[in-house]
Amino acid sequence: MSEYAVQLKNITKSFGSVVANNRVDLNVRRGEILALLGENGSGKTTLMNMLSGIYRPDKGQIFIDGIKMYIDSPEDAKKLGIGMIHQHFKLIEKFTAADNIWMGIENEPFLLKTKFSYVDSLYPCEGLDASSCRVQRWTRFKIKTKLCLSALNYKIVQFIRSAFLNASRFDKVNKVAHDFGFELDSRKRVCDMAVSEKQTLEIVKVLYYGADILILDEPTAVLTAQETQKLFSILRKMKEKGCAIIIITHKLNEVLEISDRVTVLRKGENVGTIDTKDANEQILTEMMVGEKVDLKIDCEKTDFDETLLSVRGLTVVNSEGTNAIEDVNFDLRSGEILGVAGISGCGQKELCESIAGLLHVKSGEILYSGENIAGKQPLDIINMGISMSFIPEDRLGMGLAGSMNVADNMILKTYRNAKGKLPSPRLYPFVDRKSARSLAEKVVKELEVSTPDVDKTPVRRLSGGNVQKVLLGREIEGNPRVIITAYPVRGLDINSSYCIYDILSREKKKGTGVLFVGEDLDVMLALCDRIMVLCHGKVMGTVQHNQSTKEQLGLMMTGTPYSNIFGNGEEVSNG
Amino acid sequence: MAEKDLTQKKKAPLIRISKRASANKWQSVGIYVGAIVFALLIGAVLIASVGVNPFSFYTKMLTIGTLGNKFAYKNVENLIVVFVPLLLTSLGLSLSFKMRFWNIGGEGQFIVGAITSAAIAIAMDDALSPVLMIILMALGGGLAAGVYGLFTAVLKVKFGTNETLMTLMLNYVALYLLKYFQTKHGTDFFLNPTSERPIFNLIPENSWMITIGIGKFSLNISLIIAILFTVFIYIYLSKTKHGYEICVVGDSKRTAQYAGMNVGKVVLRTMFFSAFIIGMASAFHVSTSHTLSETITNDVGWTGIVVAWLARLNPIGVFIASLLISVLQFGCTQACATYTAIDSNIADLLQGIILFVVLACDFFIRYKVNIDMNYFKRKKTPVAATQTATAGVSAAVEAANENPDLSQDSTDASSQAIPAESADERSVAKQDEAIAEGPSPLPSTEQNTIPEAAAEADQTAPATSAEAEPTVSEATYSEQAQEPVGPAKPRKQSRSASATTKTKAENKTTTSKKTSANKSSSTGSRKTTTRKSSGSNTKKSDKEGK
Repeated sequence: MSEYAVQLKNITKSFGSVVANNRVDLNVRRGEILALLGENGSGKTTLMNMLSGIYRPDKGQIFIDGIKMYIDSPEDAKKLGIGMIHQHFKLIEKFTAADNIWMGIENEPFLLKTKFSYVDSLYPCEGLDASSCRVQRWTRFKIKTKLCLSALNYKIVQFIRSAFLNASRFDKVNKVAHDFGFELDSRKRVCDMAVSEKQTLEIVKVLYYGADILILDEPTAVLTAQETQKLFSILRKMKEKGCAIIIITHKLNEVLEISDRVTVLRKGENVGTIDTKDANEQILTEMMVGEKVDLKIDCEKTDFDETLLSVRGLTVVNSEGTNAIEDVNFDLRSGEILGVAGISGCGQKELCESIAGLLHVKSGEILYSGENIAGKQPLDIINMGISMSFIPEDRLGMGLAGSMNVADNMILKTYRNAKGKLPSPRLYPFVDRKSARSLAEKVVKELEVSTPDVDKTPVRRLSGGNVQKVLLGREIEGNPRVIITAYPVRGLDINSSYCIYDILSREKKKGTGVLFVGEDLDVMLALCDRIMVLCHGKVMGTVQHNQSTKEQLGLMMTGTPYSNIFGNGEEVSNG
Repeated sequence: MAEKDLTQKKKAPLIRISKRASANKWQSVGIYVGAIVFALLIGAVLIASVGVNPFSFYTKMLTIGTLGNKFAYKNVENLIVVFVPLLLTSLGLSLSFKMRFWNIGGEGQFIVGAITSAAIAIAMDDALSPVLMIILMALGGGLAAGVYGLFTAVLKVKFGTNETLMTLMLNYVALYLLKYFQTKHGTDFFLNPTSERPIFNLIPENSWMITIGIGKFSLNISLIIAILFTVFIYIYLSKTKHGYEICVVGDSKRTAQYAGMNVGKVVLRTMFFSAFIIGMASAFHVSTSHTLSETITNDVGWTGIVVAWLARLNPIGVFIASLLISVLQFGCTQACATYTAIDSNIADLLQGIILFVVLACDFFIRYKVNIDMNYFKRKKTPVAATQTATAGVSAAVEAANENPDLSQDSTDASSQAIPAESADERSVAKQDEAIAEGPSPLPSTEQNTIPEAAAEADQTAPATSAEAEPTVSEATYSEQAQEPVGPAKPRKQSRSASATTKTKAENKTTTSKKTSANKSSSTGSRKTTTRKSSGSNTKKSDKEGK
């Protein structure tokens, strides 16, 4: 009946007063890859979450193969053959690959009621005379009892059987993975796997459950260039097998590379769908943002020559006891943006935290204007003019207090300096909320933060991008000499992202040294003066602005040292 | 491999919960007041069930027995005696709760403070003036309780001990210490020298609480102190740097560290302060009641938690909530004296009901519950579908009769459990009814998929591979000719078939469609063998495993 594997009609979903999806239509055919494109906050993930059963739409219908369905839970979605590979993997780290898949294999449900109703239907009483009715009833009773006993017996056997994990699950998983053309070691624990292997596991998992509608949520965010290509070849294979694939992304180059059609969402509404062969970057950007956007990052070299931060032999141990970063050496000069690239978990977080004094340094020194700050208290480091803003995956984690309003968050580091009319801040017990408010209003205006007010709304109610703007705005207001920023544009829309790049370039021109930890290699190649690549806590090499390709960086991120790629002559000096 | 089960969830869910856009402040307050009134109504029903007029009971309760009472002032005095410890304790608890340090040790800290202040009173005897004595007792009681609370805080800061359990257990330590002092085994420092059985002595007169006489009414000055403290705590929490630090630490310890705060120091300081206030409350209480006793706390440590929660840790809210609860408690004892049918424990009962209702209100403020009335409307089934469905089910019924394999189950109560059977049999049965039906006004899909399924069952390779195109449209299906296979079997119409036929027919047709679409995948062939139902997954995987 339907040419579309999935059809969403008029889907609307609100969370409180925020309308995440507003009358969105979507359709996907079998054997087609549809790219769902949109900025952060445009409602892509919410829409797909409704398709995979995590949310229920307020209004609208979902049709699977032309039949209207109500998907109430991920179980329903699984039964319908919808498999979602989330951005944050839903895997149990301690389990092996096979166990993770085995978790979702269902066992027999326990209801006997349905068996009885079936028996009832077999032996109806109406339309027959009394005697045959009696016979019917007796037969019915006999059969019911027999059913009951055998069902019970079966259930007991089943229960016992299910109590022992099926030992052949490893081979089963291996076989299925092999049939689909994946390489998967089903005995390997998830915690030992690399990120791309985990993603492969997620894909095999949904395929094992019989999915033929695949939804991938930002799959390339955690992959290097080579791994991305491997993923794309897998997707093409799945497409040939007849799966309907929806890929959520905000990266234009990937959309143009892999998809057949593109649906663009903007602020919760479907702006339009076009065939990829008719699309290019300009058209797509305009659809995403709604206006012509100039996507240019400028990167001018500055004349400052002072070395602000000099890290020598830094080794830091993380909470699990392993070396998060090992023997790291680099310099940060004033008036430059030094990018730090690496796959997630390679030590960037620990690097930032150790410089900010939040993590204990095992060995090595961090020289700031000649003075070793390794091991100092965070407060002292703040007072020296080193500002760190780290946007973790859950955005609110560390830099902001979610339950307090914007004004209160503005003075998070400077509240103790309020001194009123007294000579010293130590004597003055009160917090200066008036200046906090004016500072907050200034930042809100400058960075166009959208918030109902600065002194009543808790920060966690703001949307992700605004939260990050508040954070960065606060850091910059302090006029720091060193800015360490990690994932500052994570989750931000295009305009805000470019606004932040401009801010960082501006700071650079003022002479500040910026340590920029990011995930988008294209941006980093354009924005940073130098890029340092970390892998498993060690520095693989440092490349100069615009003198390297994404593939080369990708190789370094996965462990190939600089010299293997570039030869011995061209390494940019680290010191 | 799991199979698609498209029979389920054809109805919109009955109840759906969605988040509400934030209600404004006055709305929330109104809802809470409504909640309390509702709770009182429930209480009224209970009171009426014992034969007491709830209206008069409540009047007596809410006016704490002052109406028509010659000694009304005494009632107010006694209310204050109940009110002040509760207020101060709740303030102290809200301070530590704001920091998310769950101080459940209000009782223990109260007792320790009481013991210390009584000890000071008895030790000093009549040496100092009452004013000095009260100050000394307050300081002593506060310090002792503060140290008692600090003990847990130090363990939490240094070792990460669970403060909830620790403070809770220390309650009992303090309680038994108090009970110990009321025995002749150790010291009889606290005991009445003139009595045979060990009972607590009265504390010296100079330590008795100062009261200001206003006519016949003697105002307990601890009330004034308590009110002053409320204001002080309010300013402390909302305007000072310490209060700011408490808020940040309560929000997230990581953020506090990042901001350069010394989290340990803040925790210790706040916990000490919190317990200090509780100790002070107990000192005032001992001074007012002139003696120690085993029930000196009057459960104020537990009630204080309720009050702090009801008030959302806001000092002004704490004042109002503790006033309400005190009136409830004291008023009930007064009302119960008049209406002897009711036990004085009704106060606890009402308190509990209020708590429940307010909790429920909290939920309704934040979430909206949508009830879909369409759930109860019967779905109209399209005629054609019913026909095929009937046919389908009868076919299945036959197959069932022949092959009572009872190992299949279905969670969908509306569909019937049908045993697993071989593809041949079932598709044969399907073809039977397709043929027996003759030309019927079926929509093209349903009709065409049945012969298509037959074709599958025959496993004619060319035919099936022709269908293998995933993007096959209905047109392709119609190309498959109806192949007559096997004799038509007599059909039995089942009574309840019609209700469930639709689902099963669609079940079958969509199975067939699915299976055809997935022919190209190597596992596709396996799908045709079993019927779609949730139970079939394991069944099949078990089969594979054996």
